[in-house]
Amino acid sequence: MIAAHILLMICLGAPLAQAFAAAAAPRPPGLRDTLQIALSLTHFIAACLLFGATRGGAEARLVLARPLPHVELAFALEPLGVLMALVASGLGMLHAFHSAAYLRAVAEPAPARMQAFMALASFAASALAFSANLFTFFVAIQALTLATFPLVAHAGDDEARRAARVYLATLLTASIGLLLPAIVWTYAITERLEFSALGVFTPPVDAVTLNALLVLFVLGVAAVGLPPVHRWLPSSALAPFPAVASIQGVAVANAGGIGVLKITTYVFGPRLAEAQIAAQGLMALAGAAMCAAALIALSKQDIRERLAYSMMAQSAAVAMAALIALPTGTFAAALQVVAQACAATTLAMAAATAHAATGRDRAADFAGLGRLMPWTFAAFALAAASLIGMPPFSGAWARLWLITAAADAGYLWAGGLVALAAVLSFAHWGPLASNALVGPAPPPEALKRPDGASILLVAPVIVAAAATAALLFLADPIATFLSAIWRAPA
Amino acid sequence: MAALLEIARNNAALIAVLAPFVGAALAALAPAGRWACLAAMAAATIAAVAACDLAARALTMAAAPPVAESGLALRLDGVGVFIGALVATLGALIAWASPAFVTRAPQTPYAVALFLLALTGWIASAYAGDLVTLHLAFALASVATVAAAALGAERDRAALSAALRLLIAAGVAGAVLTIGVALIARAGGGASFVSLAHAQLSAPGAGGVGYGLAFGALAMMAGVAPLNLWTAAFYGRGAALAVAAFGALGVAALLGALTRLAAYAVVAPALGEGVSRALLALGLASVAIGSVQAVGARDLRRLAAYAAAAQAGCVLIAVAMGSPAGFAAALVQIFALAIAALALTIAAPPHGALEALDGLGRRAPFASLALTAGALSLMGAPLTLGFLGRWRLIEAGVGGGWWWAAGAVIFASLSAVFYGGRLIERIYFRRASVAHERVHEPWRVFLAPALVVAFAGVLMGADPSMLLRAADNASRFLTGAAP
Amino acid sequence: MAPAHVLQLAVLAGALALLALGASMAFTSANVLKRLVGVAIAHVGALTGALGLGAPATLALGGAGALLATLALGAAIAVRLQEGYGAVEGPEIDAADQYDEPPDEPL
Repeated sequence: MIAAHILLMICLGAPLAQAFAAAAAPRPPGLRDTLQIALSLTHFIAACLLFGATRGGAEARLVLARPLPHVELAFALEPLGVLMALVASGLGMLHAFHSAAYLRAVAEPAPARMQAFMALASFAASALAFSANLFTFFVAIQALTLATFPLVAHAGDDEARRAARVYLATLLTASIGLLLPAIVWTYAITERLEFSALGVFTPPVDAVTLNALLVLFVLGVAAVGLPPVHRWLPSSALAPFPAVASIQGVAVANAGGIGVLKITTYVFGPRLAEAQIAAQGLMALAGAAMCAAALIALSKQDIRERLAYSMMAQSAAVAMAALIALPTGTFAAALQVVAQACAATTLAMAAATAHAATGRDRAADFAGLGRLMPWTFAAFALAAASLIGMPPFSGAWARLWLITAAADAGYLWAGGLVALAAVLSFAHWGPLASNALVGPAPPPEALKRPDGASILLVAPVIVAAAATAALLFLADPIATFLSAIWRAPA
Repeated sequence: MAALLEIARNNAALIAVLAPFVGAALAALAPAGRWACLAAMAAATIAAVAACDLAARALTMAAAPPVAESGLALRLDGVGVFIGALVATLGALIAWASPAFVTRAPQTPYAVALFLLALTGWIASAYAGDLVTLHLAFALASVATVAAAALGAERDRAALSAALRLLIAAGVAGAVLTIGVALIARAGGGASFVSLAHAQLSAPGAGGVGYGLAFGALAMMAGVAPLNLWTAAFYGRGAALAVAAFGALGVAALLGALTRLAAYAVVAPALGEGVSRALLALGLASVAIGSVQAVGARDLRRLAAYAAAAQAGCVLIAVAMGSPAGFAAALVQIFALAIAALALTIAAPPHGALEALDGLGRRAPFASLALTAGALSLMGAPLTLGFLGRWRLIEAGVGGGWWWAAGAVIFASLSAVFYGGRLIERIYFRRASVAHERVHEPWRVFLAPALVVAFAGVLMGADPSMLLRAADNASRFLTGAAP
Repeated sequence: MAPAHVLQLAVLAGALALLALGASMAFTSANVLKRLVGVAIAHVGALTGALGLGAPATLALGGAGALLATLALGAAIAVRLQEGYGAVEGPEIDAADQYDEPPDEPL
């Protein structure tokens, strides 16, 4: 049995090794892709073993630096982080297979650079998942931003560079302008930054400070996509498809969700109930963002832009659930993060496969493609159904728990907004998926290759869709796993 | 031998001042540039060892020894010892990098000698026992730097214009400092730091004007905005060695002197609040103006000048707080500023335009690493000294209820992300233009000090316990007495 | 107010006025030599004020020494500027350097 801290080191080190391998060995492509897949597989296996070890009560802590008095750059095991790391590593492994195939199919001129930065993004997401305190959390968010910004600028033209600047400016402004002051303020008050199920604010802090800090923290984690710090998401739509999957599916959007969850659970903890003014304001903002984003997505023809706005709506749901000061809210948020990660990655990879096979990336052009690529678009439809929140898919359970938690807390209006957003999500995914499957088939010339997309482009999509569907049966085990949060000692 | 070592350690400050002075004479007599550089390396290293040994004994041991008079005109207080060690060490690194700037021109030994004279002046200012010595030390350093900058005209006539800019600024600042010192001495009953620490001000009005003039002079020389109209041209056109020396050593020494002086002014009952407000206003203005100027800069060295103005503004804000936490934060910020300035100015390519950085990552990987580390520290990236300095500043500001201060530091950080990030984007994410693509900079081993400095800035950000302890102890022994 | 005190204030006021005049001349004049004269006027004002306030002799002597060094160096630079650019007017020198130095973007 491998020790938990060794597994933790592997979980952090494997994506770093992946990035290094891509940079150091860009050719031959076979070697490069083999190393990427092998290391992502290692990452996933280590995450699975770590999940099992954590469920068995194992603890581990890794300290890399002590930059300030009583502050460490440290990583530790805790249920939320381990869950996110497992999901991200699993999707990352599928993404590694898929992106290797996609980059060959479209003859990408700089595949090694893209793979290196996607691996770095995966590392930063793992670092955030395992962060043991607010300082490490901040460092991980900065690393995630800096690792993904080159992906947005990858095309190298003026439009891509402009979008990358907006991306970088939004995320860094939020993290430096809002999150960092919140962290320093917390340190100045409490002299502690360590995550704890009892929160950081012991002894108690006045309500005004708590409310102010909650706003700074939640908006500071711009990766969750709440307005006004949401501009990075539409900007990321200009990235190539594999990068979009990394940013909107595997790494950044999930990091945002888990980030807000860690803040509400391990920083505020029981004190969240004392910051209700800010919490309700932020929930209203999240609800409005959910509906507005779902509506805007309807107007977007570029599939990546539509996915970006859809992810904004999904992430807003995570934020809303996390802000409900009840264990059911936390569980709903965690389930939503997992469901959205699987569904978004599936959708992004399916869209990428369609693009690689046909060169099409606009929603109107997807009509009937399901007849030429049935497996791909079946997966697309399944993922879309999950994002919409249609039973029996996992997204529906996440929404149901969110509405239940909102009702328990007395926020019926929040539940109403969630339902409205689900209807709007159906509007922008439902017709698209159904047209793709049942619309008139385009001529065979639509496919670049007579045999359609390669197996390596299709298989990961199918597996990801299966994972999305399988979450239906995993809600209870996830709930049991997360219940350790409230049993953990101080 | 042990007795000699004991004598040397007891006179470490004097050795730190004299070693470069003697080295300057040797360098001037050297028959060729390389011999002059050897003399510079030896002299500057001796000075650095002496200053660091003094700082280690005074600031980082568990029981810090009380500050002391050391000789006639030297005085060791917390800030002076800290800044002296910083300036001497960075001077040694520049000396070790000096062969990278050397040509076979006959005036090269004089340029090296002048650099060492300037180093003498900067170190002496840190240990000055009274305001007159401080004034003279700055005059020596300024004149030597001007002359060194002017000698660069053999390569590029624009160096003359740069030297003139510094000469005019130093001349006016020197005059302002003269009358400021006279007013302070009149109000406080003497010009020595001892009398400033213990005397009651007999004429608070005169004292206030004197401190104001002195701060203004030091701020102008340090390149604090809006008094920094001369710095961009000096940094952009000046000889590389002179610019590196002034940008790192001079600015650190000047800000250190300003911190030392402020330590006395802010505690004077009649003056403290007014001085604090004035420093805060100047600091806020410098942060805002310097940041905006840096965002618009299109030359790397000018960008360094404007960025230094923004960072110097943060130092002034920290000093204005008047608390031990504020002074400690100021020292950490000065340290970070000096390191970043040195990394940027030493590793900068000869052609200063930002376009010359495009694709530099492939053409000159080691220089690019140094530039990147300097830019990351300016941006305040986590695990760099720049981040540490900002954290301490915000913490001191929030802890003391100085919300303006925290806001200004955040604004400086956000701006730094833009102009620092732009450098990194050009270095690694753009292709070289036709004009620059054939320019491959061969690795010069004497660029190693720039790399050392740059990586030190990162490593110390990961484990800055020694630096933080030194800064905290320095702020406890600000005025020579335990709190 | 005692006459001596009034005299001292007058001397100080005059010194500060000279200092301000010299500083403005040093920073705003186009001609290099006028700028040096401005520096000299500022120093004379400062030294006058310092002596009037009874500052230590070392300060006055040091200030005078610094002034002499500054003027000597300034004269040398002016001569070299004339040799290198054929001019001692600031705008002409700046224009000659302009090709080498991209202008900063306007604020």
